[in-house]
Amino acid sequence: MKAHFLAIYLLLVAAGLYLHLHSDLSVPINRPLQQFPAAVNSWRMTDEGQLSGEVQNVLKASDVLIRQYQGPQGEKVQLYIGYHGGGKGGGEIHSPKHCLPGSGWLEHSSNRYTIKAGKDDLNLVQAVYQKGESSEFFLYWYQVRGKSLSEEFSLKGQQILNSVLHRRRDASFIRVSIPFQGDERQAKAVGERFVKEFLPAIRTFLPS
Amino acid sequence: MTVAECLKHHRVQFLLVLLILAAVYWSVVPEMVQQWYEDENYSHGFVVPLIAGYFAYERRKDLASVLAEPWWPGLLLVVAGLMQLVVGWLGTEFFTMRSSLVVTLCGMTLFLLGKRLFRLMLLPLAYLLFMVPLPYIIYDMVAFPLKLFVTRVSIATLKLMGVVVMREGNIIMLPFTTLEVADACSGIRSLISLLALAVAYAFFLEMGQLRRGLLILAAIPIAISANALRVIGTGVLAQYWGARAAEGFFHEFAGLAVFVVAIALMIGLGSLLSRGKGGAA
Repeated sequence: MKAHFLAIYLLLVAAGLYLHLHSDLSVPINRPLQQFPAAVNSWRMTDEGQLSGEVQNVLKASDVLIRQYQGPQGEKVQLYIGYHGGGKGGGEIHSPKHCLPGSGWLEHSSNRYTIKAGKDDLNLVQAVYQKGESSEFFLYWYQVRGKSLSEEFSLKGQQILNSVLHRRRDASFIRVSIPFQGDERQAKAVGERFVKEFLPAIRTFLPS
Repeated sequence: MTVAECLKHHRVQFLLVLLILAAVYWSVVPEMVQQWYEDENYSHGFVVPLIAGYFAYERRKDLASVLAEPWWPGLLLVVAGLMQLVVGWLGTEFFTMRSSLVVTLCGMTLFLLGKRLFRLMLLPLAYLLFMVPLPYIIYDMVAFPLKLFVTRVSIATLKLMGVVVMREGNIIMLPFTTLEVADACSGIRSLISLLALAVAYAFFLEMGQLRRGLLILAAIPIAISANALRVIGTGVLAQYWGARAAEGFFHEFAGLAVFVVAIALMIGLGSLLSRGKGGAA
């Protein structure tokens, strides 16, 4: 019986010590997102937005970019980048799966796939959401230390792993959205072109 | 040695276990209690430990007289529970952290006092899971479809009743006002509270396992339809008395009234099920 109690004490103390000694570092972003280029190839920024105070209070992102870009043929694309540094008091990434339906956007379709972007593969989600008569095409992914992830549970898994091994939980969420009528394939083509052209710039901002 | 004798004989050691356990979970449990206090979805959290305690109290004689036979595989469960705590901590996943307490307690019961006692303590221990708020990823997965379902049913009913309405997502549009079926109205709030109460109620009543399961499952449709009723009532009210009626006192009152109706339904069903064959022994 003595050994039994000893084993319990040891296990509890070990777990307790780990909880109290382990803390994650807050990783700064490479450069503030405000310096994100206003023009990339033939895309020009046409508008810049901000998160409302209420949303920011829930999201607690370390840095956020919301911009509208226009392509050479007048294509309109919205880019959202949310960087979460992962220190104490920082917020978590919210998946669009859970955020959009709350404001009346219903998921019409959603699937994960991979595209070739330069040398690397990029894992991302393509999704179509509808609200009343309007439809919007989304491409989004999560980036953790240079890795692209398209699934919420693997995002969590990566963060846990990085926390154990490197004391880091920083992660980013990148979302490209294109309002469209009718032709989903065209919206997808525009979105993918946008992603491929912007990826190098995005990478220079986010820590790897 | 019976469990009562074992506890008496090793009281210092058991006390020490509880003290260290409290210290380890000090960074987890108070925060959860805070959430019971702040989040109306989980205000039933305060009652859960009491009910669990009552379950244990009810069988105190059996608990004391059963033989204590330490069972070493229980240690593996303790390890698993503490691993769960650490992994949840690293991922800031509150449900994983908090529910690990139940796993650790189960493991310690098995390891220190054995399988016989564990069998008796299973219900009180498992009931503690109701005190843990659901992870948001799962909460949302259930709440959103439920919200849309409640909205759809309510709209259909309102239309049948001749109220002019339109729907966009979970927003109901009436001629002079719009109503949003918020989280609170989707029914998930009362669903979890009602489930917790249904389980307690089903075990207080003497009845067969099948009927018990039936009574617990019935909490789900009861909670959902009670909430649809609330949204419909609000819609009718907004149509005939304007938006103020739907937002003010009535909204609060309806929430409570609907919960009372749901409880009444549960009690009615319970007394019906505990009658006749397979009911009270």
